Amino acid sequence: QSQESEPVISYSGSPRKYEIAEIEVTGIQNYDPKILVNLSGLAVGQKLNVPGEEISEAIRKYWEHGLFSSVKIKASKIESGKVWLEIELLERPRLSDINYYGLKKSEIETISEKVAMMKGSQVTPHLITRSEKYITDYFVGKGFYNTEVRVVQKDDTTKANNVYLDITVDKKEKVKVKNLEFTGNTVFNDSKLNRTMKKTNEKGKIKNFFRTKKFIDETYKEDLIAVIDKYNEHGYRDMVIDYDSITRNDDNTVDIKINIEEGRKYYLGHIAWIGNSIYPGEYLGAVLRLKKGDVFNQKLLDERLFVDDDAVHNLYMNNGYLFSNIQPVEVQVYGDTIDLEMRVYEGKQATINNIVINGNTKTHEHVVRREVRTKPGQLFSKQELIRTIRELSQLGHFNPENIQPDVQPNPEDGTVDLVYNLEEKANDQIELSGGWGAGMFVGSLGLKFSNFSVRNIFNKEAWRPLPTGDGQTLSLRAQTNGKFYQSYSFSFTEPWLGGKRPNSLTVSAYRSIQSGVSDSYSNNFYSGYGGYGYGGYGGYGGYQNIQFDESQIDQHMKISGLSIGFGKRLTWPDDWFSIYAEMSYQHYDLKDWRYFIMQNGVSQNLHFKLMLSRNSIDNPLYTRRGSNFTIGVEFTPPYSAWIDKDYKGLYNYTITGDEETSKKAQEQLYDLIEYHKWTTQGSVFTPLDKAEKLVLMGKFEMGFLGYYNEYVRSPYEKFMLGGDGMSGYSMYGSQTVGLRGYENSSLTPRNQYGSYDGNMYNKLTLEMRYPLTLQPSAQVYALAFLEAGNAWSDFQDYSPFDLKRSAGVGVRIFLPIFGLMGIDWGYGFDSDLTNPNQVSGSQFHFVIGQQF
Amino acid sequence: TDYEFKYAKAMEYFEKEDFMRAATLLNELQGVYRGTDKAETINYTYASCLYGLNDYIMAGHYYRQFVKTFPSSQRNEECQFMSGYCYYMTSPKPRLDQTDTYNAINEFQLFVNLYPRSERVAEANRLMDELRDKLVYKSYLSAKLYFGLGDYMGNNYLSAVIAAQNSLKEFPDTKYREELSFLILEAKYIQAVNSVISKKEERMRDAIDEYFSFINEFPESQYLNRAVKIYNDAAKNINFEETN
Repeated sequence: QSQESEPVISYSGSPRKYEIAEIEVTGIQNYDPKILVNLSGLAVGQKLNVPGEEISEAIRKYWEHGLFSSVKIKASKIESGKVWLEIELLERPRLSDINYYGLKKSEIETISEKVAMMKGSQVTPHLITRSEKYITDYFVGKGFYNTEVRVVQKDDTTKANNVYLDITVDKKEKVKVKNLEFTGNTVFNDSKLNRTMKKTNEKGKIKNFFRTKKFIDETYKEDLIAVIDKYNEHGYRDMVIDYDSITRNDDNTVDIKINIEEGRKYYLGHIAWIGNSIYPGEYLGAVLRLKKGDVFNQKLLDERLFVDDDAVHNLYMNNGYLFSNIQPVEVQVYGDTIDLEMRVYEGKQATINNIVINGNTKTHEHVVRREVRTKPGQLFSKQELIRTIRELSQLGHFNPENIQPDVQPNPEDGTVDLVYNLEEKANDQIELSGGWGAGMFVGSLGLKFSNFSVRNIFNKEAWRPLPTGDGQTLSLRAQTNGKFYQSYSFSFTEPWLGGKRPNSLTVSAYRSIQSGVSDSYSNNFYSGYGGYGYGGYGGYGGYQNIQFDESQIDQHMKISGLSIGFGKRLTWPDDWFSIYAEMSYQHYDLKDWRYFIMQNGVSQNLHFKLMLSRNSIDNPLYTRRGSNFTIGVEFTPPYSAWIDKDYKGLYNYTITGDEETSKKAQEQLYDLIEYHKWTTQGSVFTPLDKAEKLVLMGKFEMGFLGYYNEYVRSPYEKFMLGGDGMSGYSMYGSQTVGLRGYENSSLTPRNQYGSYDGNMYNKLTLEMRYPLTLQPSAQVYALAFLEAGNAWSDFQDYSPFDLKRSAGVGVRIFLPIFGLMGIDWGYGFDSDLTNPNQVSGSQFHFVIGQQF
Repeated sequence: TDYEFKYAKAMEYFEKEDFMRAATLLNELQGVYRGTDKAETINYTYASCLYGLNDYIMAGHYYRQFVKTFPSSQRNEECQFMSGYCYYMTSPKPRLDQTDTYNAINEFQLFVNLYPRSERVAEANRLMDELRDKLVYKSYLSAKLYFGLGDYMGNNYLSAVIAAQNSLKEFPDTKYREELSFLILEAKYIQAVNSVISKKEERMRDAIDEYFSFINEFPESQYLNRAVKIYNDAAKNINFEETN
């Protein structure tokens, strides 16, 4: 066959028609010839012109595929009106590997992810140009303005038709700004304009010490727009940047010249409202808050019309007028004055028809729907829509950065469907920790399920791995170090008891047993206090060295508690308020517990608690705006007023009696605990920058523990101030309050016997936060804080301005399973009570769970 | 060759229902045999293996892929059905996101349209009814939720009525029709009771109208007693207004 000479096809004469006798594909290893023939659109038996359109079309189709670097179609034989076609293809080379030169490992990782060339895929010219461009753009965006990228294709000698790509990147040095010069500016001086250009700054100047000096084209252009905006905001709406020039210098710097033509300053003239029927023009004008004679500021105008919470358009949007529109039109410009006409289109009121909830793959729909404030039959309201987003992110079951409402209007029947697109996030937390401390193992296991479903606990299928979806919280915790300390707790919360109202029910129970030596007590309490005369144990110095005296085993403090609480959302004074009531009972059983005011006997504490709070924060994890205020009171019945007992006598015995009598007296005095306790705290969050990333938090806290009878002051429920605020061993019977920069509890005053006696405290915190990442898989933010606080024993000593101060920095990491963790470094500027003669100085604090 | 052997082995494993082994081999062969005459069998078998392994998400994906890649294959009828069936298997309980339920209905509907004479049409229709009932039940739950919320932050009875009516509009022949209709009647009545005087009468009459259409449609309803009571109370209310 091959010996036959190929037929000659004349392109000069008129084309002749042939029938295809056979099609053969050559030059290909990796594809099925049949399929390749199909690609051409040619088929055996087809009649076609040679030369003619069909063949050209077939060639074009192969090229379109991009798989071949050469396509030829030949007639191998022509005989009696039939043609034998041979399609000769050359496959494009395939990629064996990419080698990068001149880059760091991390850069290679980022880039190869984006370049996304797979081994084994075809190498096309387009692919190469694309990756060149991508790499160049990437480094120019990072300030390497002169980056050069070279891609070289090399044959792979081990595999036919395979190639390597060598990508060589020369980043050169970063380009910085040497001179930044403005001309033509009279209204704003150079340094003001300079400051407006946030990311383009001259190098070698003290005022730019903390600012980037790199020259990045993209941010430079943004900065130019910022300059224009600045002029526009001050009424210079004719202002233009006449020209700007960027000159390269030899030392990797550029000089920038910007010439400005300022134009004149404009003022607002008359504002007319037309098309409005629901609200009178005067009212709309008042809401707009701009009046004749004001500087013409387009940005402010837009904000007052559309953007602000109380913008004019929102009057309509919050009242169902979803289709409404306001168009500000400049009707007349005379001199420096601009008359505006606000053309209002009100449209029909839109009623909400369907509420659709999507993306709840774990959480049951009713948990979401009952929080949605836009309901079928109501008028559309933008405000309620935004509030709903806040409520849903507050639930904690969904990624707060990704709650996307979709407004789907149906103008023909005046209704609107609202679709809430959600993204579930893991919300359960597991804490498992173990450690070797004080010569013994300390372990704890904590589980917190935030989306539990009690009704499904007997449903086998729902255990995957746990019944979830009803938004109930179940937490279990156990902690032990074997013989000396054990603690168990359980708590359950149903946020919507009965499912009809957001009234929450919380039930919790706990038991803790401490015996003999618990290292936390020995370390905390006896450091610096060894040898202090303490009851019958006076002079027991050096105690830490004999921690495991077995005789201490039957010394113990056993605490059991039970509480039940009921929470209710209020609608008055506004609907951010809620109230919480709790009744709880604690039973203390002490034997020779010399670390406490009371050492022997049984105490019972039955108390009631009421808490009023107002919480309007937007997001529980990384809060950007909103505030949170709480005021609470906790009280026991005033037994001493009802029971006839010689309290004064008993109290005196506890001080003056010998060991035996003192113990007996304590037992009688503290069998029923009585106190009243007041706490209040408030925190306010404000975003500081436009992107709402940098957030300022201000917080204050106060607490006061009072008594009904001066001889029966509660030994329990005191405040422990100082340190990380973690309770460590769950120390029921006292309230831990953190103050960074000081050692744990070191700011707590003591009574004359050396035991902690913090009956009141004050604390102030100022904290700046900046998020490093807000991905649902890990949320990380950095913080810097100023803190001050103090605790006092007696009301007489209270001096709210005598505070212990500290400052520091820290970081918080939220991981879905592990919850919030963090580390803070603080510097205490004052001395604590353990070492009154020196400042507390540098302290590290580890934080687990939400504290500050 | 090596690949031929793997192919034969994969088919053998598949016959023996050792899906895990078969799937591993087929996954590799898919790339190798792309664009050849074996590709069809490989893709089909791979999808079936995944189905056999209860990986309905991926199985569904490959069935749909198959239908797209081999539009003229004999196996398309089965694959189209299976693509719906895999969605059917992943469709969760009504309280959760129902995207897969809608997907399943769409795929089954496509199947019924494409292969009206298939012997699986009856089953596809049955499954579609089941899926639709799930959707109705979901909307019934949300209507009931609004009903339960009552007057908490606004008039939720109205929301209940609208939610239930929308559901009936979308799925007129559902088996929950009676429940939904009664819910509408009850919600309308309570809404009327809680209304201000100016709207009360109109809403009572509306509830009464609702009652008549309800007993007309469900003369032997399990809610008959409650419906009659609502009617009597509503009627009393209106008479009272009139005598005043």
